[in-house]
Amino acid sequence: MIAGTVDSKRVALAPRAIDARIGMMLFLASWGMVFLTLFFSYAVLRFQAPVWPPADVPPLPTNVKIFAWTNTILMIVSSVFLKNAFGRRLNSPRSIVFVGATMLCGLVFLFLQIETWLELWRPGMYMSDGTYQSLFYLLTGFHALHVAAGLLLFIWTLPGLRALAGIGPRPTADRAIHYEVRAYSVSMFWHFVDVAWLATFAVVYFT
Amino acid sequence: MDDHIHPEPTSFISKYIFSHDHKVIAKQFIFLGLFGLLFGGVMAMIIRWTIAYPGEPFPVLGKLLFSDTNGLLSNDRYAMFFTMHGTIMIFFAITPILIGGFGNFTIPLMIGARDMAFPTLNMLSFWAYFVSVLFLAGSFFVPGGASAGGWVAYPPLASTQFQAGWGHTFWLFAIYFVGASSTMGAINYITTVIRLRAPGMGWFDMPLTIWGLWLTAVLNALFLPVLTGGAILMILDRVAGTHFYTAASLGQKGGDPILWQHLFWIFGHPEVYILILPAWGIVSDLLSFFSRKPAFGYRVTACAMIAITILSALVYGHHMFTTGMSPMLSESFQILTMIISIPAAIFFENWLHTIWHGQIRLATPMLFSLGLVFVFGLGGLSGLYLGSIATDLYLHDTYFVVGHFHLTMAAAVLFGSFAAIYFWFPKMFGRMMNDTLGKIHFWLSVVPLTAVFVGMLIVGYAGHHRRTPSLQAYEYLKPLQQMNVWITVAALSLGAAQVLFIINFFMSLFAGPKAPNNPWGVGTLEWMLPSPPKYYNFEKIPNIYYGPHEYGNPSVKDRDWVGQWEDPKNPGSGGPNAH
Repeated sequence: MIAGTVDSKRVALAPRAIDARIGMMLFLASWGMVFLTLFFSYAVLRFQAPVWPPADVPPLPTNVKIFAWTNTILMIVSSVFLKNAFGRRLNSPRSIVFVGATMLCGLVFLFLQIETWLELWRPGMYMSDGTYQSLFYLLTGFHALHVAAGLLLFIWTLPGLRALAGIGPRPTADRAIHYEVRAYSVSMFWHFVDVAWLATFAVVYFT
Repeated sequence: MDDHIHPEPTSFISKYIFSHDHKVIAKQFIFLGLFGLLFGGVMAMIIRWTIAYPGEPFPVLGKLLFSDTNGLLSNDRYAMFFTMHGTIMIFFAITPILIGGFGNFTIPLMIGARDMAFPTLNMLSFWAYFVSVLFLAGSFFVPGGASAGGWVAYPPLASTQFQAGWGHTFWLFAIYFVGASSTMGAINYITTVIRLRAPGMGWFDMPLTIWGLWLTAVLNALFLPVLTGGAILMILDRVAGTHFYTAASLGQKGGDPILWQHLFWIFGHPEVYILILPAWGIVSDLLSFFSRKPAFGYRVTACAMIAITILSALVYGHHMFTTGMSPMLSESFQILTMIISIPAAIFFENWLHTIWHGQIRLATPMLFSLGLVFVFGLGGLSGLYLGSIATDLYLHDTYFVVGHFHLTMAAAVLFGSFAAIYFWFPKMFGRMMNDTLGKIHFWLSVVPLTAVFVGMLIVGYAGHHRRTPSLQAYEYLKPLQQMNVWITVAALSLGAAQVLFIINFFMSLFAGPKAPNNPWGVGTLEWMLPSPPKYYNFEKIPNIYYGPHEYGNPSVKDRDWVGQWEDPKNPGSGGPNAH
């Protein structure tokens, strides 16, 4: 049996796995402050405006709103998939399937996000037009970068997941812990990106 | 706990350049920091010279650096110099020496760990920092030169309108990488202290140095990202033409320049505690070590530092009293600011009680610790006038502010750094520094340093604006010329005194007498190890039985200290782990 897996209910975690969890939580707390900073900036600028969105900004087109709602659902679903992938020991191909489903959600999310921007560029709404436009592109763009980063990180975990699932040569116990720690840390990051989207969505589209 | 010992790297590159070893990374940070200190210090000298002797080129360097202006520092370059002086001293001198350097060096050694929790992250932290140094150094060479918007970089002064070149954008990149580096370091420090304390070492058995560094790491992890976020907005404003900080009053589409001040000071106020907390922690330990007495009120000191850490996040508005915030807000910030003086006074009292009736040994580290107590006292008291609205409105942006923050986060932190260097040098390099030279260095530093910054308080009170390059431009400032000449004379002697330190440092590095394991008679864990410690620090992780300041234990006969690692049944015998 592998000494230490991501499922704390069954097997005690390896010390390195606990270190990694604490480190990852600290990183997300720290990086979450960047998001909070951007939301704070949004609030400071938004509450100074007499009308919001400003009078010279046309209302967001309907399909942009549909994209945003779809993306919200995609993000929630992706987190559920991910929870399913890592809710158990990482020793079956099942987790790869679920990680793949998560990545697919992320890809569609990015695609729709780019569609959103194109939709807004077409009538000529640019980042440099004014504070409202700047904030819109900043918040959505900053979040989308995280989705892209998350997708890259998932690709980085795939060889490890394959090895853990028994496809190819079996990893040593030490290596196995390494792979699990990596996969679990990336999944924490993805859940964070999910929560960050919910906040971004609420801020950008409802305030 | 992982009990295996990693093999020592053998190649030069893996041992000294891309090292995972916390002790080597610490030295990398310290050398870079000392270089930054030299660089920022020379800039300060040139700034002071320009104020005191208008129209006279700075000796030697002036002709070399400013050949196009007859060796004089033009007004534009003056702004560039004070901007870069502040930035370099804060992010590229104090931060690397105390946090990157001594944080890395002391944390694993003092808590009984073989290395940091994430050695690779530690290495990356240094190299992210190095990228930042490259950006900052590079910003001097781009067209238009380095940033001249002040180290606080307030827009619109820092907007493309007034900082047209790439200099300020490079400055922002540098800040971004410093943030990345500090976050990596902070995550590492926090996790290491939580997870890798030697068995038996509770939170209140840690040396106060570790408390200071740990709390610094917490603030770093939570508040440097705010500056990072603010820098992202400013980079976008400059590069992509967005409107976050643009000023409507300058005919631009309205963002809000004050937003940057909010973000900057939400970060900036914790930042001053980020800088001073390690120095406080180090000095709290050193005062006890060299008074041969347990630290008075150890737990209270630790809790006071925790209280300050929390409060530091709630007071940032006192930097912005003059921005027209609502009186209710500014009064709340004033009250919260004043509350900080309670925990600050508590541990200040504890310092004094620690040395009270102690058998004080005035070795160089102790002299610098006492120096810190002195200059920090002055700085703290002058802070009261800036924390209360009525006096701040008058003193805002004067040299009083400059004097105040130099006394607290420059002078005090500088002395903390020197105390740390003189104290841990034997453990770092295996050689003793020259104590006599060190003492001369101290006395030649503390006198002019006090004169410089107290002098600044005085001219500031008289109305000297902090960024005025020439007093001759204003009738009401002309009488302050002579006072400023004296400040400059003191500043130049302070700078000259540092030559002693450089000589001492390098002489001792190559030719100092070999250091014994425990030259100071101190009971914290690093002193049980050989000087310098082996690659893996501890062959066997020690069990901890005593607090960090176990002095005058009556059951020990032949010496006055007990190591934290020693067997309580037989203290004073060296214990099972003695080397």
